[in-house]
Amino acid sequence: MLKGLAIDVSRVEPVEAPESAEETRQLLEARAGLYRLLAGVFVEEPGREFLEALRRPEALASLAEAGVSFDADFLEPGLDQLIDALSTEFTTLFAASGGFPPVESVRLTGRYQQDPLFTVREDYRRAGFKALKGRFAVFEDQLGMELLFIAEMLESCARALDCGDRSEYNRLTREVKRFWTLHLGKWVRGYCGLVQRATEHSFYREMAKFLEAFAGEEIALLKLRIEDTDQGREIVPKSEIQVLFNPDEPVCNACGENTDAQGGARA
Amino acid sequence: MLDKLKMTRRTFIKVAGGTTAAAAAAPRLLSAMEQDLGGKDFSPVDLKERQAIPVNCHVCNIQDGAIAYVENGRVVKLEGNPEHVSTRGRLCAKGNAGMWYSYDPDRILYPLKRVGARGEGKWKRITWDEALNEVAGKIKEVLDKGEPNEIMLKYGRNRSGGAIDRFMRTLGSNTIVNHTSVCESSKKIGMEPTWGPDIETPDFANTKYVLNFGSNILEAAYFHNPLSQRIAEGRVDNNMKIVTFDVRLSNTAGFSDEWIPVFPGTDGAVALAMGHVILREDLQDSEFIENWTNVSVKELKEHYKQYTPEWAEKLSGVPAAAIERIAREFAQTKPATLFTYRGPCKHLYGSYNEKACMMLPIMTGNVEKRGGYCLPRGMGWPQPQPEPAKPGKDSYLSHPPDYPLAAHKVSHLTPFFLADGKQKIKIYFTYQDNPVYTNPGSVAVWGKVMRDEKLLPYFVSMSSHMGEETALADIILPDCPYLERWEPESMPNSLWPWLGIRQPVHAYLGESRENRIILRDIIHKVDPDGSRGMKKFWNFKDGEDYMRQHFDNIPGLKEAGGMNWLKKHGVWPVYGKLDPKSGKVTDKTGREIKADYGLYKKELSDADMAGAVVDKNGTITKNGKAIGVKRGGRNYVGFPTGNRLINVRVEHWAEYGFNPMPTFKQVPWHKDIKDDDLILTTFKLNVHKQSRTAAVKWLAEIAHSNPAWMNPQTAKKIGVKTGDLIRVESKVGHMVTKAYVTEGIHPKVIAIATAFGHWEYGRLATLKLKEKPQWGGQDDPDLNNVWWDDKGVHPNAIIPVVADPIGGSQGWYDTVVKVTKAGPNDKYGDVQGDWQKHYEAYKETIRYAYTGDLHRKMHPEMASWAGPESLKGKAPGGGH
Amino acid sequence: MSEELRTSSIETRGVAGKKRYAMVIDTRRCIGCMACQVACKAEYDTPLGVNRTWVPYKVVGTYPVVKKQFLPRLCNHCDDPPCVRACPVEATYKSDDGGFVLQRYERCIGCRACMASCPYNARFMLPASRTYTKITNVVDKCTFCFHRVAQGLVPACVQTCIGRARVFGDLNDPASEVSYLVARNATQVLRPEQGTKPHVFYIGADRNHTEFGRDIYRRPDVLEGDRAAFQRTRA
Repeated sequence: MLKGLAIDVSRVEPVEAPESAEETRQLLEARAGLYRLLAGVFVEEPGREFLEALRRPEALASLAEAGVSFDADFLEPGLDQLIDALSTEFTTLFAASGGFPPVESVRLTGRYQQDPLFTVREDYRRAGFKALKGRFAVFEDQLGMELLFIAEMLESCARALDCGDRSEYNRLTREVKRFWTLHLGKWVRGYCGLVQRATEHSFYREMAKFLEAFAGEEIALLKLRIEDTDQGREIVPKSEIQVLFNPDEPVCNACGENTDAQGGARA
Repeated sequence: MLDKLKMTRRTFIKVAGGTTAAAAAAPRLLSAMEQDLGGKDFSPVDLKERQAIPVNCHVCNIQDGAIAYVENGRVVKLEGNPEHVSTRGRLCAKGNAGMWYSYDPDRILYPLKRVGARGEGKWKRITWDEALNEVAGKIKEVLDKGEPNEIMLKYGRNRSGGAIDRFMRTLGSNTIVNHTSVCESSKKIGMEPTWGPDIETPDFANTKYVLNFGSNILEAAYFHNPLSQRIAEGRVDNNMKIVTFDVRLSNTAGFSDEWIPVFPGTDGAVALAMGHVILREDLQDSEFIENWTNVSVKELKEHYKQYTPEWAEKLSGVPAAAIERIAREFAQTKPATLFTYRGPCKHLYGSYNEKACMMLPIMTGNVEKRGGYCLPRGMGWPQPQPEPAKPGKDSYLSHPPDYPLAAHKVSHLTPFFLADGKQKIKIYFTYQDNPVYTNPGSVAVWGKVMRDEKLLPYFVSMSSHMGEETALADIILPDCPYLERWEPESMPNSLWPWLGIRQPVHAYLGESRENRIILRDIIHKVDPDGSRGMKKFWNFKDGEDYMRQHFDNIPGLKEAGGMNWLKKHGVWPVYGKLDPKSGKVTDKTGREIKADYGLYKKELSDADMAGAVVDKNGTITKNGKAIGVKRGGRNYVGFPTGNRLINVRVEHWAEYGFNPMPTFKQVPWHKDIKDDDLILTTFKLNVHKQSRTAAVKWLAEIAHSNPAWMNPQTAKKIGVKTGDLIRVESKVGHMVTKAYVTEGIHPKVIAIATAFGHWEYGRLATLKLKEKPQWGGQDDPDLNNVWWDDKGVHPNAIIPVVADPIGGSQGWYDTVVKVTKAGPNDKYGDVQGDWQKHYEAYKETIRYAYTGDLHRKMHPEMASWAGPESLKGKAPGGGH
Repeated sequence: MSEELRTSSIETRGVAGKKRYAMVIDTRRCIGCMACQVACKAEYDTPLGVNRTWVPYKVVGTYPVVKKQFLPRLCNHCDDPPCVRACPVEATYKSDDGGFVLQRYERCIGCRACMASCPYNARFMLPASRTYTKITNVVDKCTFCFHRVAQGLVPACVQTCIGRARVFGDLNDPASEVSYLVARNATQVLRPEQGTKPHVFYIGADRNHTEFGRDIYRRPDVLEGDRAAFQRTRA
């Protein structure tokens, strides 16, 4: 199945760089940087340096330009306090029981360590990467890891351009598209919506908003059409539950004299 | 020269006619090709064969041999291990669903540290290093003060093969508490002083008659799967009859040839009356009683005179005629056996009830016979060396002095002991335990104590899931579910002893670690350089290495390949092949393998006898210890008790003012139960265990709520029908639940299943996914199909503590309740328990202890007992 | 090789050289443990709310003489299956070797005609959501574990059956265990009057099970069956 899809994707014409090589290169590096930034947000609890860098006025200003505006809970507290607050929020949202782990297997199959993990692991292997342990062990199909992988791939693209290796550049671009189609594209957008609704901290709300918009842009840029399978599932209104019998049906003692009719086969 | 045989067609017919039986008994070596009963598995999608890894199931504690089938690095299917002699390739519903623990998105994968108040649900992820440093720091503080007993560990299901005890011994603490008193401890205490082991193994497959007192073996109890297989076999292949005494029509009662409803807690009286009939009509096995017990037939007949069927009828409601009939059937059908579980023993005087029941197979000589009442067969394994010594200073909580005979402890009184300041605790460890849900009083009692940072200043939970208790912890160290652990196993769950292994089917997920590694790492942090003398006991590389130290030197297994054999087969020995035609284990000739019987009649060797002395009673003593019994000129090994006999008279009990002979004490508050009062009992269903299965979707689909069972007579009286709301009120609280009106229950009983009504344990157990406008909903698309919206109501908060003064067990089935139609302000799911009233119940139950003022009142026959003061200074000793 | 029979009336019983699989369910041995139902869910990733096999129970009698009875249920793999007749697009067929009644998901248009025609209510519509299997919104049913049987294994429910109440084998082989059980015991089939020639045989199923206990043909709410039974006994 995997193979079949891979071939389908490769039939898509490779993007021809619309601008000059230098512009393409710049764009690649900018995109890789954003992937790294977002990976930093989701792969584990943000560290001191990361937050320090992010709270610099120039960083905040450029993010604000993109429509990201943090509340006082991110901007005002002392760094130690902020690290603590974000660690707690990260744990609540992503790492403790009752949260919703940013892990593709969980999002798409409801369980850790299912098919997506193994296919992602295989993708990393083919591209020559293996996952390292950060502060914590992390699943290969965790959001941050998947974003980091694209960042690496884009940087490789840039290097291929530098060497003038067009075919390598095209191959890598195809890989990026393929990875988006098979993995990120399926769940990231919906999931970001869920994070925005669930979090109580403006940092995760805004970064999820940013990631959602960024993902939309990326998909457009890559000229892909991917359906969001995740849809940020949370509560299913009862009316939408498809069942073959009526769960509201009263138990039998309440159904009066009609038991014989009920007892018959229901067509 | 050979004589030539002359054969004609006539001789054919003649010979064939005369040898029909022999021909039928000759081995049949040609048979139809049957489909295999397992051992292999294929994907239904691509037909690829899956990798098979033998493990030991551990959804519950029956310890079935299982095989995990792995596809692309994850477990997709669980099956019974066909090489396992007890399990024979089959698993129960729970075992079939065990993989849901491993991949549960609600599983805890990282060390978590509490932020905010206890139980607020706010956590911060920390690294193992931070977590271990913190825990070790706290431990060092306590150790440096010289009070290691202030470190407490309470476990629920401990299959660590000794690692937990090793940890506490290493720290020098005696404060290690189990959960057995909410399980079956009074059954164990009823049995152990009498014949040695704490459980029986009935030979159901070969018996002709089964008396079942209060066990629901076809749904729960030790050993559900293996014994259920033998019961089905006995019934159909061997035409046995099974009679079940229970307050409720369990699946076992419903399957039985006869279900005899009894008033709660009176099984003992019925059993004694049956004994009365057997002895009165001289149906006993006198030879067995005289040779193998410490009483004579005469004494026994004299003692049983008082227990008439009419007396038992008044107490139990079982007609005297039925008692007489069943007693005669039981005594005159050979072989016959008996099984009990929590029905008789979970009452104020549960130990007496158990003892009364086990007297029946003893007096009819059915002990250790084919088809009879057999001793359990287990196997041990050596501990890695060196081993820490047992700490010297005793701990109140692990040996409460008011319960000297309760060798399996009195864990359910722990919160009251703590509140009373009986012992100070600085660090509380918990492992696979959930008393906040499972114990009497539940959140009203344990919830209160565990939130109290003065009583429990530091609370460490080693758990893979967010149970009700873990939710109150200060720090959570993520343990892993059973499919990722190394553990040694052996359970006497059939008549063939075995050793088994639990091995990881894949690496730990996230940062979870198996328990023994967590414990090792804590010790290594406490004693990094070995100067405390602790590190040397924790010298192993990983779980597998520790396991090798258990298994590599066991005679027999060693020759077979030791640990490598176990990794490949999962169990040792492999007694034979599972025959696809019969589903039984067969030897090389195709015949079913046979068990050994008569273990107590194994003869002592000359080497054993060298230097031994035989006294006038035939007791064989060597180095001051009885090692066997001489009977009819032969030296037998006897039973594993102090005098190698079955002790019908338990002298040790008399020392504490308890009746040493089989007896019955009615629960005093049941005596004048009012007309409109009922007795509340609880029970387990076949698809759930006590608290850890509510989040498994396939099991939750089959059973997810627990309406209260009541008899139509009862329902009519209070004017309710199935589905109506009722209010159940005990002396410590009340609850509101739904009624389920059924003919299958005693009219004086209301029964509510446990395992439901969780308020923690993930989103499926709590049905959070149905709650609006909560976030954090669902991941598994299949959960869109959850069609139920009733999670049930948990009754434990309204059940007061009761402690058997002998066995220390919780009297789960002693609660008197008033049941009424729910009022306008009663809401489904309301549960309310009152700490103060629970505390009063504790004060009340302790009055029955041998030190309490009601003890003498309950034992007028022991008037000559010198009183508790006579035992001052005597070391408390348990059953064995 | 096995042939797909789209005409329901072709007999598969007693055809030389061909197998005819059947299941014998000995209700005297069934303890109602539900292992079969869960093993089946695990084998096929069957969604919640539907089952390929299920075990309804009934409580019969009046206190204190009461019994509980179980009747494991699944597709009967009829030799004259009405569902094969009813299917307008030939998605449902019977295999000539083995007698399996099977479903071809890619042909199924989800019209539910087969569900309506099945007197045992053994077929169901797969809901839109499943854990990991992509086949949805078509009709599904018990396959007698065709993929396992083809590999020489018994069906998953038989494999795990604690009481060994379920026995599976080839009825065309007179020496097989199922042939023996069918020959030596009184057996019953469900709804014989429908003329479907079912190949799930019951031992010890009494009229409580088969005759007026029609509610066993209902699906997931079957666990409530005993309550309905009580109404009848009291009326």
